[in-house]
Amino acid sequence: MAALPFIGLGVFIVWESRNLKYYSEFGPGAGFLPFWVGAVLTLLSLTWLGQVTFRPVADMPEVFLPGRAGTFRVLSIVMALVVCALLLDRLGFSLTMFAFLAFLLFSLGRQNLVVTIVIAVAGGFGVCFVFERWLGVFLPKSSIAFLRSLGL
Amino acid sequence: MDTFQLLLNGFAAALSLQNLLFAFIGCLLGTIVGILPGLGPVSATAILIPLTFHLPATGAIIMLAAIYYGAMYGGTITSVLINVPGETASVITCIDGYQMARQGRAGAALSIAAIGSFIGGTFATIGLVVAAPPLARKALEFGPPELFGMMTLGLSLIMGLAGKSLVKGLMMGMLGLFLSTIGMEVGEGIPRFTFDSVQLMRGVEFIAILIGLFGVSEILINAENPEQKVIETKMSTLVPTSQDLKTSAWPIARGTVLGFFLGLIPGLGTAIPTIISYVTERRLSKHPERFGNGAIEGVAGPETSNNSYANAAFIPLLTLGIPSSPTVAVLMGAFMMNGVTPGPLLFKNHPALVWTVIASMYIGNIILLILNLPLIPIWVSILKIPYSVLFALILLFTVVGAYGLNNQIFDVWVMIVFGILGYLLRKLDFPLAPVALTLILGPIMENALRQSMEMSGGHISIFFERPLAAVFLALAMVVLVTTGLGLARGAREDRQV
Repeated sequence: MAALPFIGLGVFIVWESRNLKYYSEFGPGAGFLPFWVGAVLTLLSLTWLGQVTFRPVADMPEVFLPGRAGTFRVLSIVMALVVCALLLDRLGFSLTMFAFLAFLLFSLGRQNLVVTIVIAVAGGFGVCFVFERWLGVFLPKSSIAFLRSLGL
Repeated sequence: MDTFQLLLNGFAAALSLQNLLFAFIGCLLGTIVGILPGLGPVSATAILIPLTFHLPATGAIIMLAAIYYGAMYGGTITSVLINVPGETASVITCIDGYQMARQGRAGAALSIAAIGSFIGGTFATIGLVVAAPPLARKALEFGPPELFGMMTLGLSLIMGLAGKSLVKGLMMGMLGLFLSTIGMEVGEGIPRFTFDSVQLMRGVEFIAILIGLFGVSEILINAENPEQKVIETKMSTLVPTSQDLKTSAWPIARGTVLGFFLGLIPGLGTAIPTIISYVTERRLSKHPERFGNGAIEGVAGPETSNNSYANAAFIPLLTLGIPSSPTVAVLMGAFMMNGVTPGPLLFKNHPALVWTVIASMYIGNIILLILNLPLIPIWVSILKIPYSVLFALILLFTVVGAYGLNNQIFDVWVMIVFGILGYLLRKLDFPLAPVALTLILGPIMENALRQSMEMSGGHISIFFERPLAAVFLALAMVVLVTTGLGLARGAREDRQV
């Protein structure tokens, strides 16, 4: 099954590269490399599909799916990252990261409330302060006027 | 100006207070990275790049290079004391290092590892000084066909050596090449695979991809399993006995030579030199039965070879522009972000920068020796931070790292997408190194190919008419065919067993 997305990607690259010039009067065009990359990727993916079909034991990893608790932890982290990326522009870096750390530490890390709050404040507000003041890296500010007026 | 004079000038610049501070911070961060399980040097170097944005180019590169070789030192401490390797290069040290610690000889193991690492790292840097300038001068004679042939050879080594399956390695190489084509094509100025997205016009941010592929995916993999309890051992005296020093002398010498030459080969990875060194020492030993039960040679050889390897890996990067590992690819990205392209012209166009960086590597090795031994108790205390706290903080820095590249949330999305992809690819046993390396070398290769074809008026024969290009391409074919045959033979033998 895992070979199919690669085959799909390879075919897609070849298909899209048709819209680009394969060869110009000076040499390879913009479509030359993508065409061959797509073609070779498709060929390799088909080879891999053949290998796992006829030699499943030798080529498959031992453990693919984590247990229920592991799956929950992985999905929680992914969801936390997605929500964090969605909120960065709205709430600003400090508040978003405070919430992000608080969630990860309290729910997944099982830290007590005091530790959670201390680390979340240090991570959210402290890191923002250090990066902006000392390192000149500007982190996102909130798009909400009230929060922005608070410097968040 | 001769090499020695250039090196002296490099030392003068590297010994300035500012550059010493950058080297020190880099060594410190590198040691912490090496100590902490679950934060590899690739992701750490990539995440920490935004820290260097406002530094001068030389200072930024000194610091990032120090993080890289510092991580090689740091990984040893946890391997010896608690049997947990901080990074892959230290896995082999667990075998005898931890046994020594259980026998109350942790201090001797750590001292020998630090001494060996210092000797290996310093000699490899001397090798770099001797070998790099003539190699760079020779590489200056290369035209686009030779450059294309050399890149192809480098990539074939990387893909062939990257994992258990040649097909999977090549697939990952193709994935990296595809990602490198996204954005505005340089030759004709045509957008490729951009789907009318303004952000994709300038391509997908290379560092954001690596933070996702290596950093986020590592956290996700570690999150699957609850924390494992480790047995802590007590520290003993740090001074090795004269017998320890005598027994370790030859393993350190062999490890230095071995690591240096293996560092010249792209794609080996940091674990291979340590494994080869360990196996060599066991074979040469009059008492091989001691290995696995606390033989000091089993620590001295591998630890020396991994640091010698790490420093020698700068030779292909600085002279030919070929990164030999994903971490070195990140360093190459850092060079390029600072407007410096590694390769033959580096020694000609930026002599002050390159010699200062090389000189800082000598100094960095001394800083690491000083940092590592007396401060071991402090390093060990870092491990008392629960991983459940650590992973949340690492994720925080991945977000800062990705956002800080261009001040765009788009790069955070890139990081998340590639974090999930990296997790799935790791689960399916795909090697990730080829993606990183083809991603950074793809545009250079495509450019060399286009220029070669322009030179020949569109005839592919140019690659066969120029002897060096033909040799490189032939060697690339040999590498791929022999690797494929070797892996197929191995798989057949496995099935028969």
